[in-house]
Amino acid sequence: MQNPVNFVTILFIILFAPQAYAESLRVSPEWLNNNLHSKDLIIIDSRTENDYEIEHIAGAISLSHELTYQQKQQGGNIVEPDVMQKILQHRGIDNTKKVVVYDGGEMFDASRVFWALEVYGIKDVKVLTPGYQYWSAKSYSVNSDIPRLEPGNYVPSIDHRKIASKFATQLATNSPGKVIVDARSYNAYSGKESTAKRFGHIPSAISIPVSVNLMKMDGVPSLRGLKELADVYAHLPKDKKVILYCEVGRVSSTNYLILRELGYDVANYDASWREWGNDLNLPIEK
Amino acid sequence: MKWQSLSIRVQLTLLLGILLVIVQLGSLWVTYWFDIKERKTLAVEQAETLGRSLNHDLLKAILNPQAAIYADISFRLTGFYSVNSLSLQDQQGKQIYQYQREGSVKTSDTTETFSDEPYFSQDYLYLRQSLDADGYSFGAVDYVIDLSSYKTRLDEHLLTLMLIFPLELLIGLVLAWWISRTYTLPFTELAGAMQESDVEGNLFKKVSNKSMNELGVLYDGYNSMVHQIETKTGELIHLSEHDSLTGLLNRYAIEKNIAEHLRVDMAGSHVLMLMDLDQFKLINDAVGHVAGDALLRQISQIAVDVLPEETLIGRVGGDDFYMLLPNSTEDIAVEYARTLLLDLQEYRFVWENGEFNISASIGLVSFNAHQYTMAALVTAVDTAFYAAKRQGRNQLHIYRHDDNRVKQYNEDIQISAVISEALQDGPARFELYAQDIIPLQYETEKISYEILIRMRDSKGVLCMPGQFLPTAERYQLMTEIDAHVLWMYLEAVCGQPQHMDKLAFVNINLAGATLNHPDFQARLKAAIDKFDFPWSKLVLEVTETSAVGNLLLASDFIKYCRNNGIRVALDDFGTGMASFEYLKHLPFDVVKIDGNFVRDMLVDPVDHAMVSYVHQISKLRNQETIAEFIENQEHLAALKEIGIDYGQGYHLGKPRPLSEWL
Repeated sequence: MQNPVNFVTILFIILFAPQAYAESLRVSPEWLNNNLHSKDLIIIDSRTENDYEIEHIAGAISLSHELTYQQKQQGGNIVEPDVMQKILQHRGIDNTKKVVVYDGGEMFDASRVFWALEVYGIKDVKVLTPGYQYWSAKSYSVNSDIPRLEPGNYVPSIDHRKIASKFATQLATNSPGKVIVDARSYNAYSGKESTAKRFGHIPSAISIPVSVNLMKMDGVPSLRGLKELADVYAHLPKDKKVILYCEVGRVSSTNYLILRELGYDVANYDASWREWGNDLNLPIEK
Repeated sequence: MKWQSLSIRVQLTLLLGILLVIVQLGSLWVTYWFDIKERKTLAVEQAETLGRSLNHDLLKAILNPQAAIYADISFRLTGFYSVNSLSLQDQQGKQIYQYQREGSVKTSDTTETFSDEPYFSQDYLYLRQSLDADGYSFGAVDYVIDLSSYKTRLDEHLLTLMLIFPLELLIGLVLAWWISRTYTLPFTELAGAMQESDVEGNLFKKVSNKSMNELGVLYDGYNSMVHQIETKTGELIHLSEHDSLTGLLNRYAIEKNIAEHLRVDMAGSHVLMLMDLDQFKLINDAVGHVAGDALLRQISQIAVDVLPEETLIGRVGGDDFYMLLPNSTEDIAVEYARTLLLDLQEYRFVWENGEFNISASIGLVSFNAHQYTMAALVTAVDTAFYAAKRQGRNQLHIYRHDDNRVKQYNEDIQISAVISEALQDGPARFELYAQDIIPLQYETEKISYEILIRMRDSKGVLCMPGQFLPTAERYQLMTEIDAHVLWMYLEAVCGQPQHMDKLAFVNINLAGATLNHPDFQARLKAAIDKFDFPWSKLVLEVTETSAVGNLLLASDFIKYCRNNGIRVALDDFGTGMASFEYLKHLPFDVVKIDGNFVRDMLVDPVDHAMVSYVHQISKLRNQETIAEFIENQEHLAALKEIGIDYGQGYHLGKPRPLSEWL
């Protein structure tokens, strides 16, 4: 009885592991345009509600990246489960649906929503790149209609591997199996500037600024190609767990997206530097 | 194959085997059932333990919903491999958190599946726990526990049991076989003993068993039964092989032994003897069968005492004994036979104040294995025996193949055949002769004679009485001959009135045994009725008085004769056994003095005195006397002088055919 289970497990790993290893988590505007009216597909506009109300991809619903914070001013902590439950139930989002998230094209907001959805257990989430600017430039279908939402039955569950607490990050500073990546600018990493009281970075963290993931395509911002990015992250060992942070866990979400695509085991320290840098009890490096 | 045809051992083994399988399957099932129960209890306990350990965190998650707390719970839950999923509900029953194990199957449960009582499906345990703090319920948590890990262990356990099962069965069957073998062995042994027992040989195998239970009783019972059978069979065999009177072997047994000795190869020779008492019949008749039986027993004892221990002695007829000396030579056997004859001769048989001398005749033949057939050997020993008999009393005869006497015996057989012929319709026949009996004390015109017998065979050859009467005696034909002669004579003379007028008296011989023979007595009575004969002229001359036997019966018959006018004479007086006794007790009218005394009376004064005394005694008893063997004038003169009434002999007249007298 055990053997068939083992066998299925092995089969599962054989079939799905390579995909997890380098799974594209992005969709192209062309693809989305073709599948715009697909049932079960929920298109999420992660921009601010104002932007959404002005105009959005036809059929998209709004889930602003701002909703993914408890209190953005105090830090990047992810929104509370009971709040998230309401947000997702209201929008009819659950694991029975395919989700595509987009923003203007900068990818920070889309990445943040992508990450938050993954943390809250939504499995099939992809990101549109290039984003809305490209979409509208291509004159794909947009409008300002707010679709009627069918409430879902979402119950919160947390994928703890995709979120890192202060405690987990503390442990990671001394763990040989973990790598901490600072997604802020090199200036911030090197302590020349800071949004917190203190200057520097979390001990043992390496610096991979978010900007390495991005490029301009026909004048609109977009993610760089996966192959290119693989080279960028080549020095990052794949057998180690990666913990990302930035100011408020927003831009580091982009790194999170890329590393997920590349097959890393990666978590986002959502409270980020705004928590660590302000907690005088925690060690820092410069 | 039929169940009944299977041996007890196989049946027991099968039954025990089946029992074993049933018990094992039963215990297997019970074990499995308890196992399941135990593992369910274990699963519930572990789930409850988990619940208690998570209780605090879950409470915190309800009261202070933070992603970090939830993440912590998720993280901790990943450590519990058996937790398939978990669902947290707040006070209102609203689901506020759920955990689904990575890679696990999402169960299709609803909140209704859960209750306070643990519920087991095929693969999962559904359990609801209330989240309590200080007696207040803040919500509930539903666990779905994957039982596969328990099941796996259960299956492993079951597999182990299943693997052990055939081993146990094997051991059990071996034990069953051993037990059934142990328990059927005594029966097999008993059956074997029964089969091995030689019933014909009366050899039964005894069995022994240490058991003191039913088996012991069975074995004891069998042994006791066998013992009884052996004893009884032994008695029966003894009875069937022994003569009840003497305790010697009977004819069947002795003949079986003789046949055995003829059959089994042996270097040495064996000797077979046939013995017969010379006057047994007389004693038997004289003093009765009880005495005869006693005599036979005593004779048997003498034979047993005299003959060597290994001798097989069997009584084969009235007073006939076979004596087989195994592995013995003729010379040794002859010594024994002579000793036996001597001992018998010296022996006096005493019965009710009477005393009898006895003697025996023995025929003897030595033989080797395969030399004779049984019939030929019996013929040989018979031949030797009759040869001995013929020689007179107290004789031993040894069989020789070319023996004259043996040849004579063979003639005997032929003669007896001729006698039988003569008694029937011929062609052989008897002829009657008559010899003068002359009154010595007076002159008379009348005639008197003794009737004598001759036999003419089919070829016309005349046989003298000495040639065939001994044979007739041996073949018990005398009574018939005597009656036949009487009848012939009466038929011959009854038609001759002149002759009967001339006749003073006629003496007709009777053998001793004839006198008391009922056949003869009946014939005589028939003759008296039939023939018109002057019966007062008939004198019955009884020879061999010793053979008369029962004197009382004889006396009665003699009285009968005398009532009819018939007189009775005692023949050959002076010789023979206990003659005076007979003379004294039987009412004879005439005494015929034995010729031997007459023949020698002129030279032997004792014989002369004997004749004289007999005459004097007879006169005292008012009996007439006849003297035989008168061969010359001197005899005649001497007898006349003594006063003998009648004389007979060649000097007075030779026997002539009766026809010449008529």
